[in-house]
Parts: sequence; C-alpha cells; structure tokens
Amino acid sequence: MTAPAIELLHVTKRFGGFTAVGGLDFAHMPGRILGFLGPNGAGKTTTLRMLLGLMRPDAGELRILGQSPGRARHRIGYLPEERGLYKRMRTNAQIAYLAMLKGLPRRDAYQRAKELLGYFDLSDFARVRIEGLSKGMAQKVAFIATLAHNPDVLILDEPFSGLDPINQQVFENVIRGLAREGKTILFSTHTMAQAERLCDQLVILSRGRKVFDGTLDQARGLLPRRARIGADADLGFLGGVAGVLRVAPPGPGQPQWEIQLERGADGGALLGACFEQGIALNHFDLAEASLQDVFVSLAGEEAQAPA
Amino acid sequence: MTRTFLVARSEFIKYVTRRGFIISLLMLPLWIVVGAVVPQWIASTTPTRIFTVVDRSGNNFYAEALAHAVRDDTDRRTLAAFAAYARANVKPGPAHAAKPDLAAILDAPEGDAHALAAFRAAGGAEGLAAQLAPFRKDGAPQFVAPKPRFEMVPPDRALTTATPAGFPLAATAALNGNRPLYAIVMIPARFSAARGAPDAEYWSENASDPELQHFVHGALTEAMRNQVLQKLAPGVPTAWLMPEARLRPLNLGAGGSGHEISIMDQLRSYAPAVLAFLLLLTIFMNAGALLSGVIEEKSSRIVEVILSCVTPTEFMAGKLLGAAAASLLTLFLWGAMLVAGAVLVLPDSVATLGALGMAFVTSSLLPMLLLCFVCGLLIYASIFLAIGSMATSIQDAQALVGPTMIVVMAPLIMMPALLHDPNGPVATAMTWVPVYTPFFMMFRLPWNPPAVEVWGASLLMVLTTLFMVFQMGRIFASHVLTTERPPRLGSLLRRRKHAKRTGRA
Repeated sequence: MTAPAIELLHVTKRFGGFTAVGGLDFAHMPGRILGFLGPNGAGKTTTLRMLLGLMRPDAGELRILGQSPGRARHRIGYLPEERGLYKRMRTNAQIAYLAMLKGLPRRDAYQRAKELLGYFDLSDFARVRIEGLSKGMAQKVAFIATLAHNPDVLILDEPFSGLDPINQQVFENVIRGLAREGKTILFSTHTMAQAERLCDQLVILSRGRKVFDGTLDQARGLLPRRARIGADADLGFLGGVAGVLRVAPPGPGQPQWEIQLERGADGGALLGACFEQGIALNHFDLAEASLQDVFVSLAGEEAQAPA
Repeated sequence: MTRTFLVARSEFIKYVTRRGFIISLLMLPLWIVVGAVVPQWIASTTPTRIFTVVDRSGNNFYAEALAHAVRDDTDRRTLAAFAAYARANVKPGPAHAAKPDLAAILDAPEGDAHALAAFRAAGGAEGLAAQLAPFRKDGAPQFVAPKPRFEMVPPDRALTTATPAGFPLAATAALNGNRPLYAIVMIPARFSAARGAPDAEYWSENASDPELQHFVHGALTEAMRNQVLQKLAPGVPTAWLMPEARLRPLNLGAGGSGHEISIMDQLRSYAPAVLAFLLLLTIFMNAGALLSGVIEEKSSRIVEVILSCVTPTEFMAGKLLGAAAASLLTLFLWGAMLVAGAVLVLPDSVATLGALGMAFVTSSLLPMLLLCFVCGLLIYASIFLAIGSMATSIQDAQALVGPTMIVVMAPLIMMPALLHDPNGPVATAMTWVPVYTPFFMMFRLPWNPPAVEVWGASLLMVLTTLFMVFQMGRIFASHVLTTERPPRLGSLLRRRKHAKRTGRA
C-alpha cells in the first residue's frame, strides 16, 4: 500500500490561550491534489507553516514523504499568498537563488530558471527586476520559483490570486500536469469553483478543527439536492410529494420556488405533480449542492457553534 | 553552511547594489573634501581686517607694538604657507643637502620665533623662493603669499583730535566713512598695567567675528608685559627676559630608544580611533538597510519562502555575514578613494600614505583591530536584525531604533574624554560594558592598555558577540513570522521563553 505523501496526526497548535489548530489529522496520497479550505482564521496558514517546518506543533505529528518537515524541506515547493519575491532582484536570479537554497547547483538553477521562464512565456523578462513586472507576471515568477527545484510536494497558498482568467487556466493546467507526473499538491483557496475543478480531495477547516475530509462527491452528498421551479401558481402542494424535504416560496434574490430533496429522490416526480395540477412552468432546474453551499453550510454551522 | 553563504552572498549583493550604499560610500570622501576645502575657502575669501590705532598714551608705544604684532602675524603666515609650498613643489633631497639652513627654517614648528627671524633675514618668501629656485620641481607654480589677516592704517585727523566725549561720534563716522575700516583701537592717556588705569577701547560695528579683537588684546598684553619687564630690568633685551622653551617630543621605541615623534607616529596612534569611528559610521549606514530588508521580507512574506529553505539561524547568520562583508568592502573602498584622492591631489603624500598603510597592515594590532571591528559589527547588526524582526513597518521599527541608536552612539559623546586619557577611568570602565567593548578596545589599543585588560576584554567581546548573535537569533526566529506590533520588553522576555519551548529554532 502506498504511504501518504502528507500526513497529519492529531496536530494541535496553540498561541497562548488560543487554539489555532486543534487535533487535526488527515492524509494526502502522492500524485493527488488536495484543496485546503476554510474561512479566514480557520487555521489554514498555521497548518501550512507547520507543514513547512516554520512552526512546531504543540501536540501531534506531521510527516511529509515519511520525514519530518525540516528533513523534507528540499523536497517541498512553497508558494505564499503574497508572491514572496525580492522586489529589486532580477527575475532569473530570484528563481535561481531559491532553487540554490533548495540544493540545486548554481548552473542547474539558472538553466532551470531559463527553461521555466520560457515555458511560461517570460523569457524576455529574465533580466527584469521583479518590481518591473505586472502582478500576474510576478505571480507566475513566484510559481516558477516554487517549481524550480523540481519538488515532490507542492504547497500553494492561494495560487490563483491576482491572476486573470486565462492565466488561472494556465495554472490549473500546470497543476493538473504536475499531479499526473506524480507530484503531490496541497493548495489553499477561497475560490470554490477552482477547488471543484482541480481537487481529488478536500479538507475543510473551521475554527481550527477539521469539519470535512473527503472527495467532492462526498462533500456534495452532505447537502440535499435542490430544484428551482418558476411558475405563477402556488407550488406549496409539492411538500406532499415523496422525497421532498422543504418547499420555499420565491423571495428577495430568489425569483423561483426552491425545493429541497432527499438524497436519491426523483426530481421527475416534481414535474409530474405540477403537470397533474395543470400548472405551466417557466423555469425548472435540478442540481446537486455546490461546494460553495457545502462550505457555507459546514463553516457557517461551526462558526455559529459555541466555542 | 552552503545555505548560509548563499544567503550571505545574496544579502551582500543586495547591500552593495543599493543606491543608498553608493551614496553613503561617497558621503565620507565628500565630507572630507568639504572639511578640507571650506576652511581654506573661508580663509581665502575673508577680507583683510583693516584697523587703526589712536594712541594717546604719550609716546605711541602701543601703536608701534600693534604695528609690530601685525608684521609678525603676516610674516608667520607667509612662512607657514611657504613651507607648505616648498613641501609640495621643491625636490626635498637636493634642497636639504644644498641648503640645510633653509631646510631648518622650513621644517621648524609653526610660529617658532627663531625660524621667523631667520626667514626675515633670508629676505622673506621672495628671498627663499630665489634661493630654492634651482630645486623647484618641473612645472611647479610660483609661490603666492597669503593675504594678510590684518592691516593697520594711520588714524585720520577727526579721530586723533576728537575729545573723549566726541570720540563715539568720530568713531562712527570713521567706521562708516569712505575708507574701509573694520575697527578702531583707542589707547587712552595713562593707559597702563597700574590699578585704576583706564581701559583701552576697541570700537567696531561687527561683533560676530572677534578675531581682530583677540589679536589686539594679545598684542597689547604682550606690549604691556614688555614694558613692565623693561622697567624691572632696564637695558636687558626682551628675548632674554621672555625666553621661549624648546621642547622635543620623543616616542619610546620598542627597544627603549627614543625617536622624535613623527607625523607617522601620530597617524599610527589615531588610525585605530578612526577605525572605531568608522565602525559607528558603518553601523549608521547598515542599520537602515538591515531593518528595511527584514521588514520587506516580512511584509512580502518572502521570509516564509526563505525559511522553508533554510533554518532561522542560517538565515540570520547569512544576513550578518552579508552585512559584515558589505561593511568591510566599504572600509576598503574608502581606503582606495583616499589613496586615489592622494595620488590625484597630493602626489607627494602617496609615499607617506603607503608607509602608513604598510605600517598598519604589518602592525601587531591589526588582527585585534579586525576582531574588534567584526565583533562590533556582528553585535550591533544582530540587534538591528532582531528589531527588524519584531517590527511590522518602518514606523514601528523607528520607535525601537531611536533609543537603540542613542545607546549605540554613546561612545561618541565620550570621544573627548577618551582622547584626553585613553587609559583613564572612564575609558577603562566603558571597556567592560559588553556592547561597547569593541569600540573602546579599538580606541585604546595603540595606547598600551594593561595586558590583562586586553585579554579580558577580548574574551568578553567574543563571548558577547556569541551571546548576542545567539539571543538575537532566537528573538529573530520567534518574531520574524509574526505580523503583530512590536512587543513590550517584559512580554518580549516572556515570549522568548515561550519560543524556546514551542518554536522551531
């Protein structure tokens, strides 16, 4: 059986009387993409810092590629949220410097910087100082610096912030490609759509505790399916249809009736019931719960729970 | 170790490619040039002060004494200027061999009465220039005598005939008249050293420049003393009555043999003091760069990336080494600029500078001086790095840097006491204050402090350096990732203990 690339066992981190991360454990397998989600202050950054070896947990254990974070340092690539680049350094020197700190020989580091800048269409900016780059370009350079030493594990903190949709797509493709090559990727984000598109596994934190760990389908399964029906008539009678949990009339910001269904319930029964009543419909859609809904539901519940 | 050097190399390049580094590098030579040129410029542009003397003492004794003093002053200045001219423009070897008497005049200490008499006897600057003409270097310019500081002119009739009551009016008219007049000296009747005798008067509309006033006071005092001495010993020459002692300063050599204190001896004694001063200067230069560097790394979160590659100890050690290397480069470049400036402006001083450089490099003090310099740099740089790690903005840092700078710069306040007595109680006590040890040891080394102090202070200095780097490193490691405001001192100590228990470093 393959060993996890990233493993957290009952990890706790406190700052004085405040518990930033409490009893967190999850495992992330090699070659997969894990989305690390949570509202602000959920403990994501603290967890990432512990994974990078920047902080020690007060309790529990973290292992990366079977080693402590400090020992696995040279096999990790880290992209912080705010790019993390020296403004006055030249682009190629910046990439090579970080690669050398990770153990690459000088010549190889500059060669790798050249190759990756070419791949990301930034060859013309190799000798430009970081302060002369646009925000998007600087984000690309930071991403390149993360990859330059060919790490086995990538930890990306909000990798898509500051990127236009085209470059977001480029990044997504690169991340997928890296996963196909066997790299293990963990990234934190607030953009649920990207997590839905990219992640094989999701871990959701709230107030320092894990509130979900599983696949996207498992996450969606946490909330009922939902149908939206537009009609001029009163649809309150749908509450009597088998599998219907709740019927909500149109309201501010919600022009249609919203019907929540039990998992596995037949949406067609709703259409049949309306037809039997002779009601003309102007809108009908049936959808799984979105990750956004799951996230808001889980993180919101936790946030409202007493500490 | 490799990672430490990578960080150090990167930091070094960052420092030396800053615009601020280049500007700071040029500032010291610029100040030296300004310091050398401005006084000369002021002297050359200050007009000759013209004054007159109304002597009512009876026999014009004081007016003549003042005229004599003006002549002496002018000749002394001319001799000093000619000696400087001769040093720069006359071939020293042949001139000394052929004209030893002239060489003695020119080599005499400034203001020497015998040399002044010999200078006049030789025909003044013109006479000396003519005699030294065969030994002048090719292309040497002609000697131009400096402008006299003072000129005494006869008083006009309105002043000499003015009654005591009408003198102020006459003096005002004279000072504002067509003839340029800076001051009027009025020697009243019965002016003497006797108790109750009236004062001499100095009339001028310019109170901001007392140079002439002091000169007149000195000349009148000397004249008065001469008069008293002549009364006590009539007929005896003044030179006999007011002999001038000649004192030869000697330096005790290593073998117990004395030799005359040369300019080289003086330079050798003061070179470590200059190095100590430069230590403080480089701290001033580097403090801002160290602080802003750490704050930038915190705010851009690059510190997280770096610390995911290296340990905080490696990171801080690399920063300290980078800063130390940049400081040593600064010293080297200042030295190179000094030599280049000497070659361009004072080619004759190159040999002296070369000898001084060799004496410095081969000096037994050099290893100790370098140890003091590097320890001082590391102690102060580690303090500033720790401050930078605790601050989240330059404003935060300034609140901590201000008091720190006052502490660091305290030795500057003590400079006069140190120069006066390098092995005195103040210097000795301050040597044992750990953060000041490098500075005071550098300063005192040429003045032969007791061996026990040298070894004891060296040990203290090395231990202090290790302690500071280690402790500041802990503060750096525990704060460099925080984004809070700087802590108070009490909480800082508590946090350091907490960091020890929980932090990585």
